[in-house]
Amino acid sequence: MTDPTNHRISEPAGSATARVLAGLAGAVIVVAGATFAAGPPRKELITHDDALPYRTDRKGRTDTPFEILLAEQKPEVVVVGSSIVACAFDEAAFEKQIGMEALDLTVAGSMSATWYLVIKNRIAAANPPPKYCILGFRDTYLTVPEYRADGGYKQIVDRYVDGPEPLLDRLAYLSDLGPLEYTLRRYWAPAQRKSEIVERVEGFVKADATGFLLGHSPDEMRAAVDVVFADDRKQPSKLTKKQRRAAKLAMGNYFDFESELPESFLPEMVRICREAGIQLVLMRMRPRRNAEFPDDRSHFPTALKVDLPRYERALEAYLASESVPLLDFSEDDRIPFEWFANGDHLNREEARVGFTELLSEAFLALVARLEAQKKD
Amino acid sequence: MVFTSTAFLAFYAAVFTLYWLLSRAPRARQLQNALLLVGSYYFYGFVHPWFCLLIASSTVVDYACGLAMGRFPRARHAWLVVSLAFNLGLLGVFKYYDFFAKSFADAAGLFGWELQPIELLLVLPVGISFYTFQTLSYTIDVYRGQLQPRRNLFDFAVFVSFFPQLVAGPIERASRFLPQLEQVRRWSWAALFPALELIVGGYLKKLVVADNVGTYVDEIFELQAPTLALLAVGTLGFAVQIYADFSAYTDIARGIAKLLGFDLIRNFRSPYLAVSPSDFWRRWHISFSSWIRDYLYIPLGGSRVRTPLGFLGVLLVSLGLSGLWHGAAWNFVLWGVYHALLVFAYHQLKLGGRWEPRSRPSRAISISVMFVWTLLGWLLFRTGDIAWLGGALRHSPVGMSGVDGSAAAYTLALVLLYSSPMAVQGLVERLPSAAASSLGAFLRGAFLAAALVAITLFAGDGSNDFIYFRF
Repeated sequence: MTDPTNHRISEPAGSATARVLAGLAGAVIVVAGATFAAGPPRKELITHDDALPYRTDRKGRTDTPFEILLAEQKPEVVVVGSSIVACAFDEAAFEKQIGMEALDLTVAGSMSATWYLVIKNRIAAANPPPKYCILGFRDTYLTVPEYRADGGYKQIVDRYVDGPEPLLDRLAYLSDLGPLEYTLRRYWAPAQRKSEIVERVEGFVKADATGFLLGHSPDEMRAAVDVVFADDRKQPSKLTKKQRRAAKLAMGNYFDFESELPESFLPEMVRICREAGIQLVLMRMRPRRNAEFPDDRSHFPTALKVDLPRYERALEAYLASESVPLLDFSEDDRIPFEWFANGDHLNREEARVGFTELLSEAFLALVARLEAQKKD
Repeated sequence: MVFTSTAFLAFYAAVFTLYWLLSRAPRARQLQNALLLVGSYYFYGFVHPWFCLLIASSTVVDYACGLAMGRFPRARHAWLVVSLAFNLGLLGVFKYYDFFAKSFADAAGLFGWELQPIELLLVLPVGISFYTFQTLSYTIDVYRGQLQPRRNLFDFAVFVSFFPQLVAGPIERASRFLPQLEQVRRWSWAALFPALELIVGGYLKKLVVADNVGTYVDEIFELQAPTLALLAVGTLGFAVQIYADFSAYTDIARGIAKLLGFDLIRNFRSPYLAVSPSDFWRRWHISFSSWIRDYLYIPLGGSRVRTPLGFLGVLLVSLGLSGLWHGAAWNFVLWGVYHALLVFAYHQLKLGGRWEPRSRPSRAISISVMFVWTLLGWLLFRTGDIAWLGGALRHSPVGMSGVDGSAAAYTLALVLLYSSPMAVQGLVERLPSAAASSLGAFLRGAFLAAALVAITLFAGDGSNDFIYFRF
């Protein structure tokens, strides 16, 4: 590749002003073309995609919206969280063990932006609202609002949006941006459609075009990639893509709870539940640290040894001040490492049964304590 | 502070504005250099302020050694030894001690001696390999009488710490850079467009090409047993990634230095168009390879040695140490040794030195063959685990069919997709310059805007560090 600064400068043709104007004209045409191609900018940063695959409910139906499940079952307890909770929680067994109507409202791939919307637009809007809302999380996930809100995860978030969501826009999509990025994302259509455009371009190249050349359908191409790059084909010492992203969150500047709290959905979730008469209960899940960080904490990097415990203490103090109980399984040795299917998830057999029993036991003790406090 | 962070953009905007405001003040040059010095230390100590102590100590020691060599010419050998011992000592402690301690313990284990290495586990100060070589070039040149020792400590300190090229080069020579610092700088509109092209092109290569290709390369190198087809695609991707990443840093460094009135050395010259290993080293990381040539290879007798064995010895030392400079790990040493063997083999076949193919077809063949050798070298370089590579090469199926073939094709398609901006950039650079014609200005303006649009769309959420920061 040649060096742009090493061009031989011949006698300039035309005036300097003409050349500057020509350069600007070239730039303007490209930007205008990109803007035109991306269409008009959206007023809201949300889109709806009803094609998102959903899970099966207890009546064997798929794709049943949460509002219908809530209206039909009128649960006393709902459980919210990501696949980390979904893999560990058995709705029917839990219901039997605690003697209350329970409903699993976990969403695979979700994080705090989705949890906030589920609580605000579904659970608090239910009639009657449930008595208890158990929200499962791990590490710093409650105070990282932008995590899993964009890209492929945006469809998940958008499913629970009913109208304008200014707080969602601000915290999940705009809060981490510099002024330039913010302005672009807010008002310039190509920047707004960034994830969509990248997914389309990559999807076309990797599945459609390559599949066409090899004589495979796009679905076959995607399936092949899923097989070849599956987690179980990775070297055991390497983090998976999702784990790497999660680890980045756990290593970044996310441990200052006091500064992260106002920029998170947590205070709003606490307020919404309180105003709707729902007792919010937080449930901290046990992670199995990756093979690079053996579970003996003495081998953890400083962030996990020092910063995370400091964050956890600050979170606990905040929850105590807001009268939000915490069911803490993060260091619970009754959850052995053999129960994990991978770094994040418990296996759906023995572990699910075992964890649901632990949760039922802890929840019943909590309910008894809360009842006793009320009587006092 | 990294070039791709918002903090750096704000920092640079502030330095740039103040720098040119000061150009109107009396004693402008001194004030501008003082600003560069303060700015450079702020830049370097932004994350770990104690790093500044290291660079300051290197600066003071080499400044003093330079002065002492000038004042006591008969003792200049001793002062050179002081400078070498101090700088290489720092490098040894921070970069290599743990590696050698562990390697020694491992080697002892082979003979049945159980040794527990005492590891220091120090944080590697970014850029230490770069500024150590830069400051050593000063003391060696003064020792050789090729450069007058400098009396102005502040100018010298800016030379060592100049922020655009401090952490990942290019490694400037004192004889080239100090005179620029000692001159008055004047703003030039003519430099603006070429500088912007370097900066925007650099960000394009880093954020769109290197970071995206790197994602897919990582996927392959993290597999337990990739097929040979996947390994080949991963290695090709890495060749694109490392060139895009490193040349991006150099381009941004040169662009932002140009806006401050400095001309930094060019670090790359189409390295994958090399026709031989010697040619490759004249095109790849030029500021480093020329340093090794001038301060190691030639002093060791590389240009005078007569016997093949002697020549091979000089090559193994020079390029083996070059490999070790890149990182304290055996794969880097192997990479250096591999290149030494390549240079030697080509030399024995009378294809070394300045050899050039005579016809176009033979040039095309030479470039292709050399590119394959380069890829094999990158395979060694990228693999942190030699045992894994050995296993992968021995046991992996060829994998041109079924799901593995599809995955290889898929990854290749993405590598090509994200490499395409570099190809476009290469074409645009062959256009008439913006200063030469309105058509050139129009097309280059369009390319700059397209690059910015591509960065907006295809840059990831958080950029990865530049690869050469690790070295």
